[in-house]
Amino acid sequence: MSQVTITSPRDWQEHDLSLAARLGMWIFLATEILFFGGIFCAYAVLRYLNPVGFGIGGHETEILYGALNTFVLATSAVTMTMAAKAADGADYRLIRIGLIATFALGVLFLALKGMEYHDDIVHHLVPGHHFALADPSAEMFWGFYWVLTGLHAIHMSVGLVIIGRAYWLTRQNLKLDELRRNLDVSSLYWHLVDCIWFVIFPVIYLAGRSG
Amino acid sequence: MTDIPFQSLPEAPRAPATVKSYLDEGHTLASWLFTTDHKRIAILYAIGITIFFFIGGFAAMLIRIQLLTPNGTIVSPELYNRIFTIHGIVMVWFFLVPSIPTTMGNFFLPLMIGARDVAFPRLNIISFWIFFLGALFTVVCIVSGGVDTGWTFYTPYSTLYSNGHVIAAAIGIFIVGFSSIATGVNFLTTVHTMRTEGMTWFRLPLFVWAMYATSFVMVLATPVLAASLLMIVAERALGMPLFNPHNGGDPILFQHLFWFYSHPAVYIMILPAMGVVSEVIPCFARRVIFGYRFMVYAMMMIALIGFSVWGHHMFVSGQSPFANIYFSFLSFMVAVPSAIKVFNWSASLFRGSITLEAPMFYALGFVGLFTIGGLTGLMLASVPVDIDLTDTYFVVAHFHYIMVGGSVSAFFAGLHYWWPKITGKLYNERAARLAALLMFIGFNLTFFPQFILGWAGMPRRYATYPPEFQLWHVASSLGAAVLALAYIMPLFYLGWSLYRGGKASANPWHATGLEWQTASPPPKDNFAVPPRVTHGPYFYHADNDPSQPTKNAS
Repeated sequence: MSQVTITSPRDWQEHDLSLAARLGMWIFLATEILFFGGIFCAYAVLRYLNPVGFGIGGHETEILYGALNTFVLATSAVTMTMAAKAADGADYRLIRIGLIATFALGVLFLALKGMEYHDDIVHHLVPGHHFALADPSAEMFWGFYWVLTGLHAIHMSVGLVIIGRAYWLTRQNLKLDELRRNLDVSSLYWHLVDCIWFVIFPVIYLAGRSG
Repeated sequence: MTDIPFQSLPEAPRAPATVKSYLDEGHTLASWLFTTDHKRIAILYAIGITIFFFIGGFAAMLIRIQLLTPNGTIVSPELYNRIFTIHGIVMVWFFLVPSIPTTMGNFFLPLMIGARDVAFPRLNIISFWIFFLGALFTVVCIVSGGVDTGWTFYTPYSTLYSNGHVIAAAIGIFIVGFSSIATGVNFLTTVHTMRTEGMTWFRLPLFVWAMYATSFVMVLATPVLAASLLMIVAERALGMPLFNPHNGGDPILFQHLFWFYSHPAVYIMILPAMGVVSEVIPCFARRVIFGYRFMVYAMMMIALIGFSVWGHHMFVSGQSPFANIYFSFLSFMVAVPSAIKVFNWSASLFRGSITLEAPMFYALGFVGLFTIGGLTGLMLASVPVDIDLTDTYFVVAHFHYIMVGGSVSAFFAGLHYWWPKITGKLYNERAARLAALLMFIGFNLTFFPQFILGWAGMPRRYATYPPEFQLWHVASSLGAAVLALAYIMPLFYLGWSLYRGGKASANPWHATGLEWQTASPPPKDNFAVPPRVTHGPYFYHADNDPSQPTKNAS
């Protein structure tokens, strides 16, 4: 008796790629949560130490842009899910519509974000020598603003590339399973980037507004 | 090594002679640099980490030469700071963290679970290039610009005061982190989805379990390091004062975030070593591993508790006494699974037919040195003792016993154990044993005096010291010279074996792991046909399996 027994010659079976891809993506998403979690943790500690300055800083954020963008992202989550679900019924047209809508909403988000950044820069809300607010810890709040929204925007841009690739894949002669796997994984990533925004929005835009 | 055929191991699914080994699948440079074969990627990583090991080792030699005389032998204190920073950064991130997982893990994890490759082969080769280019970038930055923060990048020194390429070095390490994460994601997914028929969870070799536990720590801890390095870059480059007390920032916060990664990183470095030793000891004692399930649970416990002990690096940082007690208690808790492992390795030797080939030399060295490192760790986990010993050479000696005495010894154990499988060649056993012995002696001569130095009050990171410490520093430097020789020797006899070494059979150690049941070196697809597994990986003696004679009996 040995550890290995050979019965009849078999061939290598493809392992379950769909499971592997989704599991791999979930694990990757866990790393993303830890990554943002580290920054949110620093935010929580420093806000606890400097409640007043963070309030003053938070008051200067552009709630209109933030709220609009939240709406845009939430809508994109719907269109992304639409695309992924349409793959179940092999509805290529609906898949493409969903992907195009998601892509467009993603671009809209970044455009709004760019306009907001422009306003922030005009109002001297970039930490440094010309920072507009007198409170030193308000400067720290704006540090978090730039780091968090900037990182999120980078993730959005990566997401756009992923959506673009998924669209391109619908134009290839792929097996439906392969396309579905790709859409599943892409939508997981997209939803995570959404979810992160849903934490950024309250901690950056809402907290401190009541003061 | 014995020539008696190990009759009960048929080496059955060995590839027929017509099947090429993975080494013969293309001989061009491109066939190596852009390969997706996990075995070739392992070789690429091995070359990469060897380069970084010798860069870090060179810095260590400069440190030991500097400390030969009380007033500093060769360099200024400023340059000394840069040298130990290079040593720390390179050894931790570019050697120890990737060392065993990316080389032996990459090579053997798929073989051990009977898979053809890892789950994401392309991600695997990408992770190598991210690692290599990121690490190279960092080293060039440190050497050209100089970083003098130590590998820990403590704020506010790293953010407000240090003049050097801190930003570039931090970005380089940030990038290398992606490679760690990719490897972790790959291994976890591979173990979950690609085990061959009959390879149940509790039939996994302990090395695979070690890789699994390590991967968990990699994917959950590395992102937090990335976040903390990013915040340093944000503060330095973009003027966002997160750690500046003047703006209400908190420098200690950085230590918390940093050690949230860097303490689990210690387990990234030691868990794979435990896995290697758990393979080597049963093979050369011809015994089943004692308490297999406890070994598995112990590793998972170490990985888990390892996340909640980071505060023991910060007993003197001014954190609350309550936090000190909490972290101290949990640090003691980690000793429990670690001790279970040491006892089980020892118990595995009991009544074994022990032979002392080179891998066993290294593995036994590991057990002894890891035990000393672990026990001194308990001393440091105790708050009152640690307050006295913080930032002394006692700490330096302690973690070198774990990382060098432990991890590096195990790395060499694994390298010698699997060398015939990887290359298909046999090395000179006598030279290997001599190197193992020299390494053990050199290591102890280098680092045991540092316990004494630290106990006597010698602080770490100083370029000069009072004359009364000189005796121990000279002893330590002498040991470092022996150690250097022991590290260079394998380059020669292993290199020699590639050209002149005897041809290795499929299973020269008569080991029972699945990786030995295929040709040496394995074919590209690892096995000629997918293997089917019928029982666990350690089947070395009659107590387990009547049909399996012991080596002595055969």
